[in-house]
Amino acid sequence: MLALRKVEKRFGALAALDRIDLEVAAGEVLGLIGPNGSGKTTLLNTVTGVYPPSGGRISFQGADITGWRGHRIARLGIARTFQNIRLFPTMTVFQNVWASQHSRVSGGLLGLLRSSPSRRCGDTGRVDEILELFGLLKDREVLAKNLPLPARRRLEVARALTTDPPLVFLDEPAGGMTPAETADMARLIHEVVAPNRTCVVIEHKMALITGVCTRICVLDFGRKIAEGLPGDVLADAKVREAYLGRDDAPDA
Amino acid sequence: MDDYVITVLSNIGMISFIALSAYLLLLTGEISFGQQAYFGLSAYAAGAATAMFQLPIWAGILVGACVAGIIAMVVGALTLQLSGLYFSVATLAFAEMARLILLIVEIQVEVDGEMVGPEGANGFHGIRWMFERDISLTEFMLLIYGLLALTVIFLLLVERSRLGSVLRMLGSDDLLAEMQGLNTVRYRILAVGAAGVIAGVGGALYAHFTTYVEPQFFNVMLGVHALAYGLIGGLGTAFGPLIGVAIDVGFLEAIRFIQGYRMIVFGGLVAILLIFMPRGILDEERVHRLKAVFSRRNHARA
Repeated sequence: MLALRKVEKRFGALAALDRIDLEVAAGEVLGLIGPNGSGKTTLLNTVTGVYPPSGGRISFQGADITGWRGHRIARLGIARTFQNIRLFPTMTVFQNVWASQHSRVSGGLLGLLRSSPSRRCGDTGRVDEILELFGLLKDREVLAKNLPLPARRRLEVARALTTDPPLVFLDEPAGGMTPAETADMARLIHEVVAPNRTCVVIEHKMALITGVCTRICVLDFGRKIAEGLPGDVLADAKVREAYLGRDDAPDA
Repeated sequence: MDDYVITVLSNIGMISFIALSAYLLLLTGEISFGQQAYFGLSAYAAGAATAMFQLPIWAGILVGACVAGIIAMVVGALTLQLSGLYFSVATLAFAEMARLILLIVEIQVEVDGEMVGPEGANGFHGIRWMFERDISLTEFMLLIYGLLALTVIFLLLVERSRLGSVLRMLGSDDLLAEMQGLNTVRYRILAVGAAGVIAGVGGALYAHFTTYVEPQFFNVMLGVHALAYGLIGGLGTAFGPLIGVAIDVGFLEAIRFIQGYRMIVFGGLVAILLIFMPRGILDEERVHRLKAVFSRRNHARA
């Protein structure tokens, strides 16, 4: 579904991504792990067109999307969330999710002026359905900035699903959450996000990774150091050294 | 109403256009110090249309608005890669360049035995459409407020529409907007063009109201005021910048005893509001709450 061939991203002398080869198969939940600064988010930013790769090719569903601008890649069907939670803070919960449908509603300039959020435009029923699934329907008219952190994380994931994208990237969906909230997010990913679509999850919390991922890829210093089934990869000596520290018992 | 009151009200109306122009860009997250350029260029273009080429006023306003809109889109396309402070500096530089060019432009034609047209630093005299047609100040004020009402209605419709939320998305987080599938470049050019047109309408009216224009009027202070009006009145609704203009041109102008100190009071007001209400009196949150109150009242009535 998504294929990276020798993808590189350099920031000055620093190679944030060093000739990464990666295949994401349709229907899988791939866990992308690695220590801080290993290039996980850079990989996500490169794939979603925040910045173009310095080298290599990226293809999605057979189309070469190398160097495309972000909005075209998003329209093709790759949605994402952000590690540091990006919402439109002064828009309501409903508007935040509804807004992601903009690119789906056509009709040119006149269509833009005619349709309004208060009237029927886009699939408002679908928006409410998604909000319900993520337990956000009761906060429908609340401004996004007034939500507590777990709800803001859920809102980001909900927004990523509104356009029914075939591929979703979740960047630390349980960042800053308590164990109970993390378990709830794992349940949502398993029950709502993963069915009928492909998913790549960047996360540090092993409970979430082992709970939802069907396969794991490990990055360290911009290079892929391991890839495979969760059990095998986490037992790999190189991974334990890079990710958990040398001679350290895994504590998570 | 005496002529003084009409003049003050007309000024409020005409300045409101440039305030709305700056406001539209503030919505998309861009701080432009150059909207006075479109006001000024349009004033010259519209004046030329009616005084030099004898076109009717509606054609003059149309010419002015189009000239301003097109130049704004070209400047917008050139400055697109810039953001934040760099965009602001670029708009200021362009506006000053436009003003300095107007200072040296001399193109005059003979109309009824008199030379009419831009005369460099002396300005552009003889835009006498109002006198030739015997239009009273009151009638012209009605024209100003008619066009202002149309502009405000247009902006309110935009705010309710999908385009409105697209523009606010750009202003709030343009990377996020891009990631939602929006072509942020195209919407940004659209916004600067529309802002140019709005400032242009104001400039065209101004040229005909005062009968002459000079480059000095379109200096950077006009652009700074235009920004300040939105920041005082609030960025939550198009009524915000109008409140800002009314406070400055209306209220402060009316209080005669602070005459010489007007800019001090105005500057202090801007500073205080930026500290305590950074997005103005009618900011998004207050507008959201007001709307909730009104819709609850409507529900109760139904």
